[in-house]
Amino acid sequence: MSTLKKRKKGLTRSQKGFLWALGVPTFLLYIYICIVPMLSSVMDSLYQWDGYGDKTWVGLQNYAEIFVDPVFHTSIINDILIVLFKELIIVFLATAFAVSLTRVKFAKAESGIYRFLFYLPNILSVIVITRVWKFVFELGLFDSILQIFGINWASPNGWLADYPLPIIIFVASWCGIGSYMIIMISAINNISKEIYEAADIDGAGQFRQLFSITLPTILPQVRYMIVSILTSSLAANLNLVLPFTGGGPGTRSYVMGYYVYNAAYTDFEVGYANAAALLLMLISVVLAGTVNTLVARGEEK
Amino acid sequence: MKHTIKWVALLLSALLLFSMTGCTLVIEEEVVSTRVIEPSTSSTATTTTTTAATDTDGSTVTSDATGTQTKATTTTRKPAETRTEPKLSGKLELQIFTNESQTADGGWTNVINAFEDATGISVNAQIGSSVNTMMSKRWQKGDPPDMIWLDGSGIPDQQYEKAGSFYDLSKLFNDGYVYGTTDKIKDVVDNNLVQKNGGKIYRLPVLSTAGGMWYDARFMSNNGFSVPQNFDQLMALGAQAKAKGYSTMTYTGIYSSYALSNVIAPAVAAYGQSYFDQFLSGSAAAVKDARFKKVMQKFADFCRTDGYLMEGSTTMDHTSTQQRWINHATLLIANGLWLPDETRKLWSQKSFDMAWAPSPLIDADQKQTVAISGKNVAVATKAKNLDNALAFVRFLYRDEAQNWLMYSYGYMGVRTDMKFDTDAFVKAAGGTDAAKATATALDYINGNKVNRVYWNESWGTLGDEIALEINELAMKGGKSVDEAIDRLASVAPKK
Repeated sequence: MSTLKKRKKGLTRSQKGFLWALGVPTFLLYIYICIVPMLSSVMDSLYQWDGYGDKTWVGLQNYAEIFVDPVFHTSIINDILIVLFKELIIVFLATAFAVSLTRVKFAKAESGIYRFLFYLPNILSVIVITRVWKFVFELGLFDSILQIFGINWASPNGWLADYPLPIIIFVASWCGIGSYMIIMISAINNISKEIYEAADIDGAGQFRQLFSITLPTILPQVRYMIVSILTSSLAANLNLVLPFTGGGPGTRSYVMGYYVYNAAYTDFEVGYANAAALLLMLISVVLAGTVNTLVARGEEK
Repeated sequence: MKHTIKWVALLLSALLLFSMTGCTLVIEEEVVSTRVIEPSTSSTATTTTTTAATDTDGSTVTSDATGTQTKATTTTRKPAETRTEPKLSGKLELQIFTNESQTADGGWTNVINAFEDATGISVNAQIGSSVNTMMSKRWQKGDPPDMIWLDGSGIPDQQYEKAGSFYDLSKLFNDGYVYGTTDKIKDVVDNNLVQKNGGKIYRLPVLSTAGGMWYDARFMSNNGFSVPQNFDQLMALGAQAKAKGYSTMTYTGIYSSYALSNVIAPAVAAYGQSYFDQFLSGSAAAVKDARFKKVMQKFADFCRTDGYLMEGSTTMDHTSTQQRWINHATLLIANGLWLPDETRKLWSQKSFDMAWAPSPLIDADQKQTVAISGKNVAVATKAKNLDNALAFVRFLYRDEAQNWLMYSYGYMGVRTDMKFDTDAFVKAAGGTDAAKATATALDYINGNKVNRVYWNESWGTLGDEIALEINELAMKGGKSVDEAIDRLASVAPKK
């Protein structure tokens, strides 16, 4: 009885000790790794600073300059376009491939090969991926593929120069499908086979089963996929853009990450870069929060 | 449904594997490493008696001359008189970026070994392609190496200079002597190459270089093509080459400063040193000047004429453009003097006769022009071995040091009293095809065919802004020249 009372009052000393032992170092580490650099970044964003010499206080001037810079606007628009199309392509194809590999009767080995091949881009380094696709688009392989299908489209300045954003979207999606497909496969495999058998007996066709059983059941994973693609893209678009196009031609494929990188490491305007980085973080948080809320509402409905 | 999916899957898989196979054909791995050259005990070039006490910048001349032995030089003048140097000891730490596809490491190793032998100083040289990145933290912490070779990316040298991290070398330049000789540095080094900041000198040129275009002379000749010397000839070549299925020129679009440095800046320099200086100073008036507009218009007109600029150039990196050029997809490539050595593995097996020409973006009545820029060293204000660093800088102007570095980099020296000798250069550089090609270029630059204009000022971020506009102008459907120049003029004062 007395033990029960103690429990009602709160945690035992042992439990508290355990939580303190784990929580305090983690919290301190979090402060040191995340909060301190963030605060430092906020402070630096208020200075004109080349990253090496003396800092000059400029207040919010860096932010004011960023807001009126057309290159920053281009970067935001490009980021949003990349994310939007990545969402559509990856969600559709990862789900479609997952459904195909689980619901269509492939032989086990055959299915394994496809899983491996679709997952392969996820284990390749970004540099290898960009070299591969640059080779495809720069050296005429893509033209040859089109010609096989009787298409003779000409790109006046070269494919990457004329269509940098669509190509980046395509490659980014190509890289992302595999891992999300594995998540979808896992989700579909968790659906009870009895449900499908019952549907078969009731005369439901494959499409009916897809829309009435499979997709509604894996909606939580789809939601995770949407939010995950959004947050990872905003942070990682730079990784593709940098080796692929260097933000070019001109500033046509600038993304926010590249904008920050360029300000910090090419122009050595570290204060300005910090201000841009904070805006990037703010935009990412707002977008992720909005999408998360919208998807959650949709799921509830 | 099942068959469609299978075919889609197979097509994607085949595309992946096929492109990866192709990729292995084009990727040349970039070697990234940093090596420390250990102090050497070998005697390669010089011996200088170090007995008399003189100032460490060598400004006090002693009367006793000691026997100085020199080796392999392209100079045709008589050897300099020797002078006794103060005794030095201890250590010296150097930061030297080298693109390891060049043979620059060997040149620096020779210089360092000779310096160690001459002085007894133990040199710790941080050499490599990633050294600038690796050492940046030490500069920030106030623990820099004693001397830095200002080359390669990743050195915020303007910031270092502005923050007072570079030692004032004015006294060394004005009063100092080339190590072990009676030659005053100011008297023998081309003063035009020396950058000044508020009247002070924080960096000194050790080598000099110039940009232009490279071509395969044999291929051009076999096809009846002539190397263009001005814009009219360039456009004529464009039409001729297109008729035979070739594009005329390429540049590395992803790093469009290649076009800026090698064909656009020399064409601006063709209007004379005075205008070029104004332009480099970043004045909005110079940017909006009709002369700059004319150069940019030529560039845009050439690039936007269908088939003249190699397709895809604006998004290609240097490896892709160089490889395609070597495969004769295009005739000319805008590149620095390091190209023969950098690409030697790609063209050494081919029947390739690499040759060099200045920028053709000039009018027919203008003389071909090269914009000569210095490759500099700086000494850290917080150098732990300042005297040794200053002695090393003076050593770099010795004949043999100049020659070793020239041979290994394929650049020019900075001494006005050393006449360039093509045969000696080729021989000293190992007689390779790359050395022959470089020597031909240097011979051209040093000859009477070209105007020499000096590029002795950094134009800061304006250069990056122009580089951005270059790709816009190269694109069909890109910005107009007026639009590009208006934007440049608006950012120029911020330089």
